[in-house]
Amino acid sequence: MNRERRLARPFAGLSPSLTEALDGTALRFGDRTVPADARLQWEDPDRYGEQDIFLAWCPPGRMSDFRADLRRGCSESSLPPDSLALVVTATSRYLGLVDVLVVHSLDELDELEPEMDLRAEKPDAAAWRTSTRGCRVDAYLLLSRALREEPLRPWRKGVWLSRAGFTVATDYTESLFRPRRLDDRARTRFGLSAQVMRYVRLPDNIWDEYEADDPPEAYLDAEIMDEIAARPRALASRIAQVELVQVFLRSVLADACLNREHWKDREWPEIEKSLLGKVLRAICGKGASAKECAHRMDELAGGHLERVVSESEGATEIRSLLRDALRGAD
Amino acid sequence: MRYRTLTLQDCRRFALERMDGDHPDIGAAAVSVGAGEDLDLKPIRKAGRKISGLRKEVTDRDRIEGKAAVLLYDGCSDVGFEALDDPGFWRYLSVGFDDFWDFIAWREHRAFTKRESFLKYVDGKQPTECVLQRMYLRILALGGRDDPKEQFRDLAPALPTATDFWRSHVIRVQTAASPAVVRAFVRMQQKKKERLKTDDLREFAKDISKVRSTVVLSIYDDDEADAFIRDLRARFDRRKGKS
Repeated sequence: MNRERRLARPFAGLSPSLTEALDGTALRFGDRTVPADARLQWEDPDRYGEQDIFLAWCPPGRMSDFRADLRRGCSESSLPPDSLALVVTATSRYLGLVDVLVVHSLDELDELEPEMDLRAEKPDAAAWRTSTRGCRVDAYLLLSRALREEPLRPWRKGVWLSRAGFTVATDYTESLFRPRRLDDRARTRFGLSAQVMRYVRLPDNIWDEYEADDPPEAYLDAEIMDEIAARPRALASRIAQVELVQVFLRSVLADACLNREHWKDREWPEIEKSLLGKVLRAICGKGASAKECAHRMDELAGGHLERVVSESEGATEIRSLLRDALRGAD
Repeated sequence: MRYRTLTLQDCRRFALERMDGDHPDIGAAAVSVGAGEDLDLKPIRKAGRKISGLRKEVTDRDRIEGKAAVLLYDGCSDVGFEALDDPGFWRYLSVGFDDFWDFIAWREHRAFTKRESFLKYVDGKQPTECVLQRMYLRILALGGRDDPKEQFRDLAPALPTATDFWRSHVIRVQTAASPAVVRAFVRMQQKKKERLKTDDLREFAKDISKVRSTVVLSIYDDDEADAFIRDLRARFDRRKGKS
């Protein structure tokens, strides 16, 4: 339960079995599962539309408890089961297109499956195809019909008693770049040979304020990306991802150094919100002071690219990953 | 489906060239996205020509925007959500097609004449500002073809001088996610006797927003939405001492 939910919902006499009914829900998107109110960062927008999407109402093996809790909650809250429903909606994150996927009355709880195949519920929902930003899935326990109006009691149709939200994000507004598949088409587009494994596409200007809508892209060989998707937790997968970050950081630093005439006379606050600023911040670490960041910026402005590139390795866990890989190889 | 997009930087570059009176060829800069057959742009071009013709009509530019929104929606009927949800696609249309550019410049003539803050109307950064996107969103807010009666055809241009109504009270807020409620809201404003003026309208829209934070309005049908708006309006009028 978050604070806003408590403040905004001045109802009395509702059983926690109803108000906390959806706290145990989880969303499975492809091979990833997230709990209620979590954000799932999906790294492969090109395959966004192919993923299975399932909503689990409760942890595995707890469906009987889930049903029993809801029935008890209705009784304790003096709400008839046929006045309540479980509803699931999917919303595209950019345009805000909403599809109602599921409406399941509580007087038919026995027929409720532990997991719902959301894509099968509405295959043509806009949210399944909006790979640019992703989607939001919301599950509600709500009043499915209006009741007699009473103070401090839910009565309006649609008023929700419990809610669980899941964000599937494909955009990188909070990240440095968007990973993309380097396939034959991309190689042709960028004029790259078949041997090229990684490629970084940067905006023309990386020293002015960062445009989240036009993120830089880091391309990784499509076959390797598929292997990573198949084995996301494998050590080699993690190393490949971290190396991509390294390549990206180096590309930004090299670009900044080449174009330093454009920004070398600026102060740190003028650079801070740019892509370059974000990279320097990442290299210095989250807790770094403005002074530390400014120092690193001055090094780069002075043309000490090699030193800053070397320091950039500290921004990732490449050292510990390589160490673990080498130890495991014995 | 493969469709064409423009990056933010290219969009800005071409927009500035257009402001200087050029007609840039954006073909080389356009980036194709997606797989399969290329999106057929003919229906969109045709819609653009019709929309361009609307500028000759009358002075209520928002009402014209409403009519144009219907034409744009029809023109985009074969466009997949992949493209509609991609700001780069809207940039491509806004800057790459003379008819759309001219209409946007006419609709937001103040910003374009002053050459100030006009990029937001074409760069797709905010769908609630970008003219083509907000036109499309207006139709979606009315339910589009999900509404079997296709009421959007009548309702999109139904209100006089309704820029604020659409932009501030429907599209910018999540009320747009509840098409039946939006239709009921428009129907209320259509009636001369019930129509709320600026300040009252703002207050009433806030009442809807307050309810929306605790109520899933997306599940309402037209009858329920009409009853909801009537109920909210009766409470509003009582608060204002009007009944």
